[in-house]
Amino acid sequence: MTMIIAVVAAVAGILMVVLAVLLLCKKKLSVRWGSSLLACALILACAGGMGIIRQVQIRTEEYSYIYMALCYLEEEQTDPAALYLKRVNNSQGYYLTAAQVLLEQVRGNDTVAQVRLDVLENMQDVNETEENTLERLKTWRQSETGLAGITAVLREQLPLSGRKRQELNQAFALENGGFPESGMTDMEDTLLLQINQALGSQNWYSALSSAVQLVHENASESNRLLLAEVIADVTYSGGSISTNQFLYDQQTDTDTYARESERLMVRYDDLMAELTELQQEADYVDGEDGEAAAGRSAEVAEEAETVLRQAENIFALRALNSIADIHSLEAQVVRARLYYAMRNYQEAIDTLRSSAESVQAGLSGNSSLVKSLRLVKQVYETEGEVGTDTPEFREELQVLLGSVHPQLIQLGLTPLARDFAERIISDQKTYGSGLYVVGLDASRYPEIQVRLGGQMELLESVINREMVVINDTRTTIETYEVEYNSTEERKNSICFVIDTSGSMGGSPIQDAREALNQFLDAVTGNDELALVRFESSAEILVDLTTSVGTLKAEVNGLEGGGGTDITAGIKAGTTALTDASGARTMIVMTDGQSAIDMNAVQEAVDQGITIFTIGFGSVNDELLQSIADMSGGQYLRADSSTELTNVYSSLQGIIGNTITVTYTVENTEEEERYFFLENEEYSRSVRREYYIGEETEAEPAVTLTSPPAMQTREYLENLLRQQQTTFRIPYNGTGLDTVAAAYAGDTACAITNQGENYIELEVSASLPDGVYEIRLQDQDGEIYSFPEMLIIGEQLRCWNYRAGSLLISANQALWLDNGLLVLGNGLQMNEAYVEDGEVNTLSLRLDGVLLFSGVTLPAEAAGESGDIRQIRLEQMDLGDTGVGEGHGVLSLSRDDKAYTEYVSSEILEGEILVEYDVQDSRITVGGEVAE
Amino acid sequence: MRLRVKKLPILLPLLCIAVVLIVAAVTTRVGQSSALAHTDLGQKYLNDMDYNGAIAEFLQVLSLDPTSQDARLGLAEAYIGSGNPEMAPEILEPLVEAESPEAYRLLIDSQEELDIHLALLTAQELVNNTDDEEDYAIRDELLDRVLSEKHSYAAGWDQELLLSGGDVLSAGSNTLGQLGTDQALATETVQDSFQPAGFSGQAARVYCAGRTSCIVDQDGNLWAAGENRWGQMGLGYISVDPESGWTQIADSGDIAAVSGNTGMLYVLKTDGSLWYAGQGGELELQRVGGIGSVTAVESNDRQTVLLTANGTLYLCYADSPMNWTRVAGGVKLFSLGNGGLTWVTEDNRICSEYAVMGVPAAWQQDDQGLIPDFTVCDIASDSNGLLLTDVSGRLLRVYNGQVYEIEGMTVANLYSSGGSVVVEQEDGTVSLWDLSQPDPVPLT
Repeated sequence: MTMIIAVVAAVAGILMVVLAVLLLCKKKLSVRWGSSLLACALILACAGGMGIIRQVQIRTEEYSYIYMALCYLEEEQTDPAALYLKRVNNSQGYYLTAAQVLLEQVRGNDTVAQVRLDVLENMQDVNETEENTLERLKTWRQSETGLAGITAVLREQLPLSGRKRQELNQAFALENGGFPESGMTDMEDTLLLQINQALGSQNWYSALSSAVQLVHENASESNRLLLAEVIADVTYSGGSISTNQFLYDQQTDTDTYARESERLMVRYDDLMAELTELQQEADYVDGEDGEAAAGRSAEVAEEAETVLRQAENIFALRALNSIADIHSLEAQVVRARLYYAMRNYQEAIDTLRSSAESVQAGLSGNSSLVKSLRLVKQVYETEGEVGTDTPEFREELQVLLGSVHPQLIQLGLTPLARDFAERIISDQKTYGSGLYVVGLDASRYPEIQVRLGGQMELLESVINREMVVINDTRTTIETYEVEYNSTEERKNSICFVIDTSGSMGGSPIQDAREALNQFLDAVTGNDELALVRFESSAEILVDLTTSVGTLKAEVNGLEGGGGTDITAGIKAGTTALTDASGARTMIVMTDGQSAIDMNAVQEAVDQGITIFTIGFGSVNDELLQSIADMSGGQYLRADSSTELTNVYSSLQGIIGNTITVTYTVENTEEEERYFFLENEEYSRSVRREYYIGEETEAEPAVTLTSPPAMQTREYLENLLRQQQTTFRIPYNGTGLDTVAAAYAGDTACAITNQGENYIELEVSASLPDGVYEIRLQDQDGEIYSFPEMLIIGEQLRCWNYRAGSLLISANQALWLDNGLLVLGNGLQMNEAYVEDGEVNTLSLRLDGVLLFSGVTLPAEAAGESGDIRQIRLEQMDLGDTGVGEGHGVLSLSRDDKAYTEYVSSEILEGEILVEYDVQDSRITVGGEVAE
Repeated sequence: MRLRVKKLPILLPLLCIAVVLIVAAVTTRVGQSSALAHTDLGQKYLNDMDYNGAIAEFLQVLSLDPTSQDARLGLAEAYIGSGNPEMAPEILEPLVEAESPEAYRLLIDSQEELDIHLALLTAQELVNNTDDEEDYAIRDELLDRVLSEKHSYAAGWDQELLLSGGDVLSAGSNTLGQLGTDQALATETVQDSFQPAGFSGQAARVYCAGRTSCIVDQDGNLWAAGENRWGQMGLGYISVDPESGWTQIADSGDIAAVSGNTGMLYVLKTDGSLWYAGQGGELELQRVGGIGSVTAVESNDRQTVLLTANGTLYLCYADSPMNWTRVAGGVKLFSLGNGGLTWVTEDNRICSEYAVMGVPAAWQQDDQGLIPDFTVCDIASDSNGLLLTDVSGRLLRVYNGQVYEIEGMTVANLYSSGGSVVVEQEDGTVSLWDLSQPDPVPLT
């Protein structure tokens, strides 16, 4: 578009020049008008011409970027390639898209590559060569030439002159460690390429020397900014800077910064020497003197570190000062880099944000820089912006940070630039949720109490009922109470439990220290704090204290080494919080896999401790999540230790804030239920499931588990004859040591022996025949009844019975005068009728009793004498239909056709009812006690 | 007036300069593409169903403003519209992380044709976030599709059921009436071939639990035959005599699936509630409480495994009824046969109770499972290997470290039952597969 306008303007201008000259020559126009027309024509022609030249320049520049990107891609260096491609403004061109396809293919993002390939295929003005290229883009992995082949093809297609290509090849070689050709005469260009190369290989010394030399050659604004940028990178990466490197700088001798640096280094050396002495003293001297030496050595170590930091930053400060006279937008970016290098992260970010709305941004010709700065400002100002943790945004930031010298691609890829970009991205992330369910209490169902925790503003909106919806199991709750839980004037007792295992060594522990320090800076004086470190074992470093300073001193001494035993950490944390007076919170941070004894968590929960877990690296997310869930805390996940500062600051806004929402459920049919709360203003929702099942009846404190006792009249008569008035029955059960009195029916029994799981009762031998309930009374007077536990009757000498289709064999049978037959002492049920070819499929065992009422003894059974004790029968028939009632444990024998080894053979326990007929017999639960 | 005319020739070149400057400024501004303009254009293309045009525009927006939500949503929609739904999840990821309901809905759109189990998990996450009735409708529709998948074969302890051409056939032992007929009832005779099972209703799916055989009819009612020693049929009693014939054990019209092992029957209803009867003395169907909504339940001889709508997998051993232990989270589907339990997580890891025999070289492996080089859509396993379908509809047999692609079969459903893997094709063919063998054996 711009090109067309430029060409049209140029052509029109030239035509007008010709016209004006003609008109002037032929004197058709006055000199005044003629010259005016000529001037206009010249202006138009020049403007058009300049436009064309500029467009050609821009295109050549963009093609050069693509060319360089392809060179890097050939070497599979995707990051510089991506940055080069990001510089191309005409983002819909064929060459760029083709290079982007290749970039994503090399990165392994096949989906994105395919997307771009589709776009490429749909471009309208694609010629035949380009179509072939498309094919090659799809298949280069299979071709012999591979990546080199396809990048060469794409480079070849770029409309660049041979000379330009040569230059670019040379530049690429230089950026990648080559040496300048003798043909290169421009000192500045050579130095720039050397700086780029040195930055790429992190050769800080060489980068700095070249940058100093560059400023010496030409102290232009651009070169001075570059030197400042290099100093920032060297400072940040911990490269050493000495004043000797500034030899080119005429001011070195009088440079106050250099002198200050030297002074600080001397001071540092002194402090280190003092420290060594103090440490030796602490090691060899016992008692108070030794402790004093140890205390003093900690102070000295801290001071030495401060001095070293000051010394390290001195050149960055100097650089900051040296560009104070430059007010361009680019200078602001350089300042941000310098602040970042000095670990003044907030100032660095604020500098970027404020420059986006500065006057310079309005006037700047660097539109892509302005755009990137505005994007940064926008993401900081918009709540919940998405897409910041994407490769696109990351590249945008790297381009921004490298935009002062776009030709030095490595400026966007240095550790400083990468970390700076990551910090901006990390700032956009939300760690943990601003609203969460701490706990739900359904014990007073249908009244439900939900404790919510989270950020104050979100909780307040619930308190004020602003755009808040509460549902319970798909029903909106209109009426609810909200209460703010004030905990002793919002006093918090926080114990930090920090993983100091070997894997935490180096930058993770450094980041953790920094994050903790920042957290401590924001702590209010009211809060109590403790510190625990754990590795293979745990140690309480600081008991609960309100002195932030004490804690900070220990935090700064944290170092990594050893294994990871999170259980020990939590136990020590629980101990440290034993005497806490505020809301108890434990913050557990770890980077490692570790199994845990959940009892330790339960102990903490029992002490009312809320545990927040922080994990990064290869942690066991599920484990940390379950610890948090169990204690009503939250699990906050960071991708790396660099995000810890943001994680801790998110946590700071959450700890100690809780509210309680109380409501009554109306639709009570559903058992699987949930609580749901949505804050429409903040687009946040929380959900907690709960279950209202039938409450399982509590097991009685006293039980009898033995089968019923069966006693024959004959035996009792014998006893009475021998002047023994009682007999003893042992029962097994539970809680029997608490029994104080026992009854068989209404007759009191003596307790002759008892323990927790057994009891022996002494029962009167003169009890009449009958089915007796055993009642046990505990020491508190509570009575427990166990029906049918004692049966006294005449023994029937018959062991086999047919009841409908069932054949029942019993080890003991008692006959009571009222027509009641009691079978027990081990019962076996089989099929009564097994036809030819069939198998007996049934084999059940009952450890208990079965009672059949209304039974009449067969005439022949009664015997001539009518004396039941004379009867002896092979089998007795209980009729084709009928019912047997009783209780005990019914199980499957091995012979049963339904038996399998994987299943417990027990079928039923308790009261059972056997309904029999010839065709079909059934067993159900809950027989009634026979009368 | 004269003054003006006189000065006009001088003003003209100045005017010309001004025009040139303005044009230059305007073209520079126009040259800088505005994200907003591209978004509008993309939306317009989207409305006109020019998906390729829309894709190009939205990509442009994202390169200008990576934080544009509209562009992400538009781009995802364009991909789905253009028949490239597999492209959508990556684009939507940042929005899904931010729990945007619109993004979830588009994600479901992109997943439902390719991977219904994953779509169901996403839909559950959506309702968890919105609690919106319209979203429940989306979830329920997906659940309905998953629950009505074909299940024409079932192997029990010593019997098999086959639904063929609308008829239920049975084979095996009929000691306790598990074949449904009175043929050789209560004898040791084993019926080797499939014979009509005497079910007169219209069967939709068949299941077995131990020596109990079950049929879900087309009205969603449940019928059973065979063993009821533990009262597992839920009829309120235990049968002590072998009976032939089918008994209706649920007439609620909402039965989705059945599973279980000896002594225990689990019944999954279409509303996601799970019911059980049998061991532990429950003679009537009782609700399995406290585990939330269930989307699948399967059993082998020794264990029962269920999957909740939230993607949690629970396991219960046959000898310890109702004692559910959590196996894993983030699970989209599983397979349980006598060869063991295998499950697939939402991040495409294949995990297994026992080690997979021979891991293909192209697959990665970490302590959480195997990561195949394709996205698993469905899985079944026996003790020899794995049978998988991927999102592009390929059927793959994994045996002894090799992946074999099977051509010419359109799979309607695959699952494990007993010791075999069952493959049901769209044309109604049901085959059993011993995965050490190259081909399945069709059941007739």
